[in-house]
Amino acid sequence: MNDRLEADTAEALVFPSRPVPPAVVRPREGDVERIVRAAWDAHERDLYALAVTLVREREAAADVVGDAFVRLVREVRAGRAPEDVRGWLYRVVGNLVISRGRRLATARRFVHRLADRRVQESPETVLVRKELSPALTDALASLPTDMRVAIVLAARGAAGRDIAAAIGRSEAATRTLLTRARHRLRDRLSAAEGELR
Amino acid sequence: MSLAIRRPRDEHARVLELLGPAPAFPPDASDRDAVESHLGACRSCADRAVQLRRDAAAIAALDAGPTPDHVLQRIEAAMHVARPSLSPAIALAILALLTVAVLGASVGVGGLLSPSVLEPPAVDMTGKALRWETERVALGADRVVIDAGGRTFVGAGTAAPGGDPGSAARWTLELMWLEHGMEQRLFLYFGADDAHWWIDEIRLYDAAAGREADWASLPPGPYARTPFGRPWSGTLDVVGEGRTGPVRVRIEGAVLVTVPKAPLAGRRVEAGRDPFRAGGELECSGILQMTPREAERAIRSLGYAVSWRWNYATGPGTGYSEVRDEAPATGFISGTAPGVDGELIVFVEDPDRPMGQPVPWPARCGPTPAAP
Repeated sequence: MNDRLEADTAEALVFPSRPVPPAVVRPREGDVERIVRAAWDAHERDLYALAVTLVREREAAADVVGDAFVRLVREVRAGRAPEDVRGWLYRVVGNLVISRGRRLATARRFVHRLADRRVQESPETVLVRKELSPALTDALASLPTDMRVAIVLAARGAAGRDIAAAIGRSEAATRTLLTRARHRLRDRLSAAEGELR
Repeated sequence: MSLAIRRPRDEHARVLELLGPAPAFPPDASDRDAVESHLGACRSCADRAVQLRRDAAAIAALDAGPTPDHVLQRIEAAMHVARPSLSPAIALAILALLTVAVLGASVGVGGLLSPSVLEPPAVDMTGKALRWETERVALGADRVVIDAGGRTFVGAGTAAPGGDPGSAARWTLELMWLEHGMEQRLFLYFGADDAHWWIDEIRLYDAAAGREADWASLPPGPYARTPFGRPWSGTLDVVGEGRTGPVRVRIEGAVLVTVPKAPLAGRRVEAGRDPFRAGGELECSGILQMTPREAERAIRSLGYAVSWRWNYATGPGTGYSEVRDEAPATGFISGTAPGVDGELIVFVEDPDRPMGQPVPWPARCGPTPAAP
C-alpha cells in the first residue's frame, strides 16, 4: 500500500477531486419538459445507482428516483428550477431515503389495521451484493441511515452543503458525521478483512 | 489550525479528522499542506488515507444500469398533467372536483357522502405567510411555533413538504427542517371515515441535543375533524411531553384542505369472508398458484378491489410489507387477507428473501388447478 502511496502522495490521493457529473443542466423557467428531460438524460443512471446503493432494493430505488424527478417537475413548474440540478436531485434522493426509513416505521404502526400480518420495520437486504462486495455491503448496512446517506452521497461526489441538506443537519454537524462515518466504515471493513485472513 | 504546534499524538487524530470529510468538505490550504506533509512522514496515516479513498471509490463504482422504463413513464405522466398546483382558488376547485370524483368512484370510505355537502370551500390562502402543498394536503398558516427542549422553533416555513399519500383512510403531511443546528419535524397523520377527515396524530421532535432527538409524545387526536370537501380553519395548539420536558406546537391561523386517495374500485370483501379461504368461492380457482401478474388479471376480471403487498425479510423473523397498487412483476403469492377498506389484499414474496411460503394447491380441490 505504501508503495503506491509514494507514487501518489500528491493531493490527488489525499483529497481526490469530486467525480465530474456527466452534464451540467442549467434550467430556464417555462420549459418543464426540456429541463426535466435533460436532467433525466444526464443524471438518471447516476441517481439510480445512488438509490440502489442506499436502499439496496431495485424496486424501492426506482420509486425513490421517480419521486425525486416528480418533485423536480413540481419545482420547475412552480418557477423554482434548481440551478444545480444534480446537487438538488442528490439532496432529494438522500432525503427521500431517510424519509423512507422513517416511513417504514410509520407503516409498522399501521400494519395491524392493514391486515393480520406480523411484519417489522427496518428496510433492505441483499441485492447490492451482486455489485458491491459483500463486506462493503454489510459494512454500509451496519451504519445508521444518516451516516450511510452521507457517506454514499460524498463518495458519489455530492457537495457538503447538499449532504447537509439531505440529512437535515448543519454543515458543521454533517462534516463531523461524515468523518465518523468514513472511519467507522473503514474500521468495519478492516475487521472483516481481518476475519478473512 | 496549524499542525505544527500540536503534539505528535494530536497530529494523527487531527489528520484523520481532516481526511474524513474530504472532498465534500475540502480543507483549507494550510490544512492541506500540513496533512500532506504529515502523510509523507507517517506510514499508518498514509495507509489510512489510501484505504479511505479506496472505500469511496468502491462505493462510487457501482453502476446499477439504467432506471427501469416505468419510472420515466411516471415522470412523463407528471409532466403532462394539467396544472397540478394546489394554490388558492384553483386548488380549492380541484379539491372539490377530486372529492366529487372520489364519491363517484367509491363504494368504501367516502362512498356514503352526498355531493350536496361538497360545496367548494370559500377559502383563499394567498394571505397566509406559510403554505405547503402536496398531492393530498394543502396547509396555510400565519405562523408555526414549536416549543421543545427549551428552544422555540419558528422555521417550519423553510421545510419542503412531503408525506405519504397512503390510502383512502390514512395519509400524512410531513415537514422537516433544520433550526438551532438541529433537525425539527412536524408530521400530521390524517385519518378518515365515510364522511369526515381529521388529524389522527401530530408528531414533532423533542429537540434533544446531538443526534439523540426523538419524537415527543402529544395527545392523540382526532383534531380538526371536518366533513369531506370542506376546509378546516383555526389555530391548532397542542401540548405534550418529550424526554427533554414539555413540548408545544401552535399552528396559528391554519387553513387545511385535504383529499383522501381515491378508494380502490371494485367488489369488497367482508371481514372473515376472504374468497380464498378454505371453502371460499375462489379456493379452487388456482389464482394463488399463478404469477402475481396473472393473478391480478384474474382477480380484476372477477371484479374485486385488490391491493398488493410486496413482502421481504430483513432478518430472522422480521421483514417488511410494502403497499403496491399493482401486482409486482416477480415473486410468488403467499396468501391473502381482507383489508380494512374491504379490498382484497394479496401478499407477494420477494423470491430472494421471502417471509412466507407459496400457497400450496389445496388437496381437496383435486389434482389439477382449475382455470378461474
